[in-house]
Amino acid sequence: MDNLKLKLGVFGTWRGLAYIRAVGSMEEAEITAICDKDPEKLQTAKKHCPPGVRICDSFEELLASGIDAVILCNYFHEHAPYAIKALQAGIHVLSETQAAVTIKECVELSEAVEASGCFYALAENYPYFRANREMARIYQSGQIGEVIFAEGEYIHPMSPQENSYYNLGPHHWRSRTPCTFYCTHAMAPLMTITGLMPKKVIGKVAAGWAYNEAVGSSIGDNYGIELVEMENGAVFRVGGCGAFGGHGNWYRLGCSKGGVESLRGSNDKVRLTINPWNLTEENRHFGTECVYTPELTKQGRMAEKFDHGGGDYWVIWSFVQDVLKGRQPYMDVYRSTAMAAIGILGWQSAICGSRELPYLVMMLIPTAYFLIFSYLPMFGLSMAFQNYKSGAPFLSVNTEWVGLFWFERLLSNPFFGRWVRNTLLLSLYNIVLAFPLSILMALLLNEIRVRWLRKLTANISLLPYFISTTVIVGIMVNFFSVDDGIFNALLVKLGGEKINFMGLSQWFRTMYTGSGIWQNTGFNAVVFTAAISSIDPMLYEAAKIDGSTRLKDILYITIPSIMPMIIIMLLLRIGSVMSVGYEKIILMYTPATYETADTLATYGYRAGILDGKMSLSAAIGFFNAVCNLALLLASNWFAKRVSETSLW
Amino acid sequence: MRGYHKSFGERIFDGIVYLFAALVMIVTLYPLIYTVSMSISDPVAASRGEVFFLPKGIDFGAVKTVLGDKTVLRYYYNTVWYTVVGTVLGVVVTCLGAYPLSRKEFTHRGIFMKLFTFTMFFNGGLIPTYIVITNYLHLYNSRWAIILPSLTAAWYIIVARSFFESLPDEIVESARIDGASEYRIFVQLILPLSKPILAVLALYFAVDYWNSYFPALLYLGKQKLQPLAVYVRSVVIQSALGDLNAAVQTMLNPGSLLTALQIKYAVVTVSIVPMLLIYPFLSRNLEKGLLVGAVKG
Repeated sequence: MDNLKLKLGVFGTWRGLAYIRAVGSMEEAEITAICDKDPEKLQTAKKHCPPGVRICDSFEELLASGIDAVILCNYFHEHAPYAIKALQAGIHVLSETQAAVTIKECVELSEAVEASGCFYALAENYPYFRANREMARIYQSGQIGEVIFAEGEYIHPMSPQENSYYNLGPHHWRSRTPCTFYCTHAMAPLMTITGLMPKKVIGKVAAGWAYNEAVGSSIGDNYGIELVEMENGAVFRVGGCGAFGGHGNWYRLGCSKGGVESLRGSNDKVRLTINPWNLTEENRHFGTECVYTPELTKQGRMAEKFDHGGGDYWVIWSFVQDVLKGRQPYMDVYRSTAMAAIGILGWQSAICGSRELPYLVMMLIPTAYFLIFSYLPMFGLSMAFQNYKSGAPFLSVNTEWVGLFWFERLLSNPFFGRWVRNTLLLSLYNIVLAFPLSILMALLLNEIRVRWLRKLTANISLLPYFISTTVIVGIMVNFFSVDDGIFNALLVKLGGEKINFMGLSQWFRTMYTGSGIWQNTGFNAVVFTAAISSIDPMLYEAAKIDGSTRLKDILYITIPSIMPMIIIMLLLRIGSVMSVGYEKIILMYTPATYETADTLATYGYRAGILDGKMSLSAAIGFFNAVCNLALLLASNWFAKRVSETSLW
Repeated sequence: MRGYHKSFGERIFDGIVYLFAALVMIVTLYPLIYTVSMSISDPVAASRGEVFFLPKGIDFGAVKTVLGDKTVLRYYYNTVWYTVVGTVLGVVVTCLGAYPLSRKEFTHRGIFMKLFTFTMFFNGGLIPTYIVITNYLHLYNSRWAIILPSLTAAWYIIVARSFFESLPDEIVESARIDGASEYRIFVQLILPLSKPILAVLALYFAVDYWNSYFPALLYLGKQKLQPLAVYVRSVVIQSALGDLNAAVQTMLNPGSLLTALQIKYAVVTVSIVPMLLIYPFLSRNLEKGLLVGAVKG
């Protein structure tokens, strides 16, 4: 009856060797083709195969070699694509765990099975353990009732030597697979025993850096735990691939009339408990509890010769029987992909926690804001290197790339020196004059001992910050007007001559800096006021006992205490040197004052918006942004070295 | 409090401090008071330069003329619209960004924080932003061109986050035990407890939108959408630096005693008075909120 033998192909002969050996003991099947990319492993496997076994170079060749079914023993995360290929070729599939690693794969795999009419089974060997088979018999007999809670765990620690043997570097799948994915050894026996399908899952992971360091490599999280709600409402707790001491598997079923569990440290013994109040005439001879080793059949004793408690034999034997008899394998594509989904969704749940999702939802709009209004324009800076035409998208290949052309244009502009000089001088005045004044303001505000007066002064000094720059420039224009401004009127009364403050270039920097001080000093002082208020009052008490004066308090306590804040604010200012308040300059300047008022940013505005030279203007923006960032990084580095205070 | 007897040096020191306080108040308030005084003084006194501090001979004619102008009312309406809509949306978006970042159990907060803070130190600048708004979003001549680009800012998010972090964690914990969802905790527990920071954010946004003129210059061609600040610019600044604005000319009816000068002062007054009126009510929360943001930011 040679033609009735099922012809099997093995893809991946390291793990596949177990099946090759098991098939060797069967009369109903034979290995006719094997495939592996490692010639050494292939030679080892060949020794266990029947003579005349075909060695294939590719999966396609394996499928075309006339096999009836393929055993997929390739990488953990690559089973589904190969299974689909085999099914499309009309070949039955016995796949190692895991069936699929994405939900998309789960669906595609199920559809491929349905479309092919072939058999698909997961080579999950743990349900065939001696104790598990006995537990299935007991549960299915109905004597312990319906399952309420079940636990399954699979613990597999590895020594550093084993780990370096199996785990081939940080990019190998063993290092990369999320730990919840390897849940099948814990879950499959429970599903087989109870016949239930999972519905919902919550996952957690237990990290274990100490273990990882001990084995000398990163193997990710140590244990994946999934709480699974089953179709009948029962909750199963399954833990997969625990990398810590106590190698072994353990399963428990808590049921309505009693419970059954395997014993830790033994794959053979079963502990059966019947609730005393559920004892009946038939099962009274058990008493309420008994521990026993189930009997083995003759075939069972034979199977024990193979690995994983005989599971390796039973898996392939059952598959061969099912295929030959045209019977749907128990661990079919739906149960297989359901277990894959437990791993996938359990991982999602673990990385999200249960709160991550609402937070991510809340972040949607703010993140979209920054992506659209901050990051998209950053990509737009590419137009500084292009000959950008209005209406084109950013980074378009259809727009001509011109390299540094616009930067050369900018640098060769006769006014370039003037723009840089004005930019730097206006910023310098701001840092040298306005910045120390805001510190002084905070120091003096702190010295006003009358509470209401201090608050009043602080609030009034803040007020101009809340007045529009347009209005402030408007007030300035009114005040310093040559014809009817009060300032010139006072000047004349004091015997001076009228000065066109707003129209003369030699007055621009004074007007700009002065109005800036008027508007912003109070607001800029707030951070320093806050820093001062957090100084420990004990310092002042102690100084007072030592005979310090208030001036000395300021010099030796207050200023050193707020120094970190001063440095941070100074760094932030240095980081925006190139972007002086161009909106205000645009309001204030006239062509007559360009000599001292025109900066890179204001020229960029005129060139880009008014003259339509988009690329040139973007080049200016790019130049400014890069200079700002460079200045910030440099000054931050410097601050870190000399003061131990820095932005990061 | 210090000792009962103040030394001579101490008295000098106090004197300097009070002198400083007086100086700050005078320098800050004088231009504002003078501006208001000019706009409500008798036109003759104003034009002769007789007003120095307080109004001379009250006359609301200039303010009435400015407020009676239909275009001015339109500008005013626009500014109020931008301020109200922008403030509400700005506070909402900022809180939405800040609250998750204040939660320790939000494991991705580091990434978002970096994404947001980087924008404080580097940006695409004027032209790329202009193109995003006009070419990508097609918002030229839309009110949203004023609202959307300044919907939030990294600094505001940091300030609000610091405040949320200062709230006791137990509130959130206990609400969770009672079964409240994260959204409900945020809306019904956190936000009502965060009124100081909401007030500060609202003030920031209100001021930003009330004063905003540059986006209008860039994105609004239609006069009927433009805010008051643009009007202030054209009437006060440009007419002083260039030609007298036609809008002002039309307001100066022949026979009226009003002068262009007083109109200009009145325009400024009209645009700052709402802020001056609201400010005292805000200033109490303001200091608290600003301090919270400043210390931890």
